[in-house]
Amino acid sequence: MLFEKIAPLLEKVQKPSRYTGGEYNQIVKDHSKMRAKMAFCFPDSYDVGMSHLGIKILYHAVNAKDDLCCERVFAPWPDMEELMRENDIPLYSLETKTPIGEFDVIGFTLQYEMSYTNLVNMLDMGGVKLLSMDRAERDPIVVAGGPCSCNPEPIADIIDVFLLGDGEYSLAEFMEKAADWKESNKSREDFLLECAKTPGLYVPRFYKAAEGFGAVAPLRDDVPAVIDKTLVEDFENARFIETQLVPYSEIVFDRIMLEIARGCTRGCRFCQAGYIYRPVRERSVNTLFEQAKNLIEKTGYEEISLSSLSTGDYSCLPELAEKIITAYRKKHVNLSLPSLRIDSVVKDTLVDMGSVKKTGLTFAPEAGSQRLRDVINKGVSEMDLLRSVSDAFEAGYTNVKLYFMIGLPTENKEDLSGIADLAKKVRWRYMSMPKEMRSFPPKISVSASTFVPKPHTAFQWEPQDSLDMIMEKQEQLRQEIRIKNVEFSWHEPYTSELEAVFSRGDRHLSKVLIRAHELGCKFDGWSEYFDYEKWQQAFSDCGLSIKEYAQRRLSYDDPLPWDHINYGVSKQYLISEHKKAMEGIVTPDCRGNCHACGVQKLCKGVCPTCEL
Amino acid sequence: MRAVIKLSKVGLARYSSHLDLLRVLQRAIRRADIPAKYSKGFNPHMELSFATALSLGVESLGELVELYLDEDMDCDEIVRRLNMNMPEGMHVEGCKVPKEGIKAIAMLMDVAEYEITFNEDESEKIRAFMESESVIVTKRNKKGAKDIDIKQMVHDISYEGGVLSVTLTHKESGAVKPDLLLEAMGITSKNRILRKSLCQIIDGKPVEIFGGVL
Repeated sequence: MLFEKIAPLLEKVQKPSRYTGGEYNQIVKDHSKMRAKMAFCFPDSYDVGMSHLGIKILYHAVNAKDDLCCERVFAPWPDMEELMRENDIPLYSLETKTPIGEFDVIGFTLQYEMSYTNLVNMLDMGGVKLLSMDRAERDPIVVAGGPCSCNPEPIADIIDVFLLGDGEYSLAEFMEKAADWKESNKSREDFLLECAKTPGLYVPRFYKAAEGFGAVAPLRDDVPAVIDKTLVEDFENARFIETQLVPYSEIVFDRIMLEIARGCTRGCRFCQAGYIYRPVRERSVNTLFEQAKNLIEKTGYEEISLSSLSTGDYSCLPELAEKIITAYRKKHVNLSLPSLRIDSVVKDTLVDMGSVKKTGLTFAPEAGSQRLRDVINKGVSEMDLLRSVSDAFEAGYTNVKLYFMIGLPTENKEDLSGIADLAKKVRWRYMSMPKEMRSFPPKISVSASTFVPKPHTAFQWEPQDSLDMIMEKQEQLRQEIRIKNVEFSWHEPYTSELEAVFSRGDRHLSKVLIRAHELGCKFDGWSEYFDYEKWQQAFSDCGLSIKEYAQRRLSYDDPLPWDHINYGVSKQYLISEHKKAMEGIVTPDCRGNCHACGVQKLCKGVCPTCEL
Repeated sequence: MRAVIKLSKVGLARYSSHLDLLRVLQRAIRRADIPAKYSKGFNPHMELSFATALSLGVESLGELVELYLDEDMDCDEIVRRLNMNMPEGMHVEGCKVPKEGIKAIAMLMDVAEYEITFNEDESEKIRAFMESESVIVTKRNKKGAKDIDIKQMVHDISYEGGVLSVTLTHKESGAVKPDLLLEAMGITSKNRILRKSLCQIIDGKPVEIFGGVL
């Protein structure tokens, strides 16, 4: 039993319960009764991975089938990895401590480009061949899904099959298909070809990448030239989370997550999630309340968060919030509302939340000036923001976080100065309240991340600023944001640069990734492990340039490495959005105001957003 | 209603820290729908406390937890419901309402009984320890380090069939952890440390608090 080899290591590592499994509500099945087994890998630490909503959904979606099982695997923290390698312990699943190489399917969720080296490292730790073409007949099938699959090319040489779009049905269907194959005498290649002909699945080996930077074309006539994402139209009934794992140790988001809606109607032009998760679908208050009740009873969690891209836009937010708060106040269940958009905060709900728990509030104006907010289509005015902030202060909040992005297309010095101005005005909103309402000093945190152009957005053609430009802009902000009660933080631009490289990358980057892995790159999203010099070496060893990828300005006519992947929004629509951005013209929220972005073509009937 | 729960923590659960254990138990209590009492005030928390902490990696058959309930509830029912809601490795061995006038459990503790096994034959080192008059070790805590004679803190010690059974001082004001004892013996090959019980010394003899005092 593998665990006997693991146990002695656990007293030597930080947070050993990351590696034990056994959490309440975990699902353990008898492997001898399974038609197909899946190792679901999250290419980051346990604490981060366990906090992720997608894994909760898919874990239950696959395990809902009696003859399929899905077990969890996370990237071991480097202290544990070292001990595992020293003691010849392969990467294993938490439920049954089975080496990942013994599963029929190894699945990765791709949430963030900077976790790609962890993906490679996890395969390596499992003794699985890194390249799709090197895997033998009955080696595990390596699949991937999640938002980064909208540009699969940088890892196309590594992954056998991509599952595009919503996974709650398609993953279990794929597992059934893999089970049929396992029981047949068909070759691996035949199985993969069958996958390539299945809607929603992309099998890179049947497609050829351009010599340089360019489009990907099918190598055979019988595979589609363009692969559509899978879309779950009946979101209301696509419910799988009947229970939720409750870890022994504290994780990043240690609470019940209630997915109230999927998608966002705002159309912020930089936001990939806003484009690729279209159309917006909502669940009803009754369904959500039932789900909340069930999860509270089955997990014992003391906090619920309402999760979606834009919680404030949920049609029945006050009703749902009130219903949950009223029903569970006595049971000491708190409600938290993350990612609030600034114009959608409902004052009554805020006051009600205040009676249960007062945490900080987060606003994301993204840009400092109205001009630039119009360019990026962040349809929010300074007045809206300040009114929401005042509401929050009056309700007793003292901590406010303001998120901005620097390096946005067309940005100039005045736009940047607008950030400091806004911070001053926010502070003034607090200071101008009557003295008896200001028992504590306010804490205003301003943070500036770096713009990363993403595929399938209106800004996919835009270059990223050079490192020098970003650092210059950060310096300007540091000079200007010297305001009492205001704290400024920024991100190191190096990680953002590589994020830009891989988000708009092509298939040639697979070899860079393997090289970076050989050089020891891992946990690149964690500043303590990120090593820019190693990345520079990996690129130069492969004869490629970081700068060229990150700072590439593309034209509308350029064939793109992700043109064959269809997430619904048409290129034509993205072009029109880009043109409007350059002219500073806003596109209103598409709720009740359809702009025919293209996603309606993926919906058999009418776009669900139009029906809201 | 005041209740004391006796809890075992073995196997995988030994890798959770004391703080984690507290959270795990609180959630189990909530799932079991036991009407735990909450403190008043701005940030209400469940009125529940462990008699003492258990080091990470150490297993136990008898951790004691004090819990206050808003409504009276049958002890057997508490045990039954909690055990339906425990994660792997944790089990409720019993629940009692302490007799009138019993102090906080933490104040009753005098010693803790342990069983320790090893990966190698350590009988020489153990015998040497047992025969010494005194063994001085440095005890470190947050406040600093001080030298103590650990022999004074060992109430009972025996070694049979490869199992070291030892009773160590364990008071709220100061306790000796088995790791310190092993360090004093110069032993690194420990396999498993199991805390068997928390006891009060009555008439010179350790009496298990849960079974004999409450």
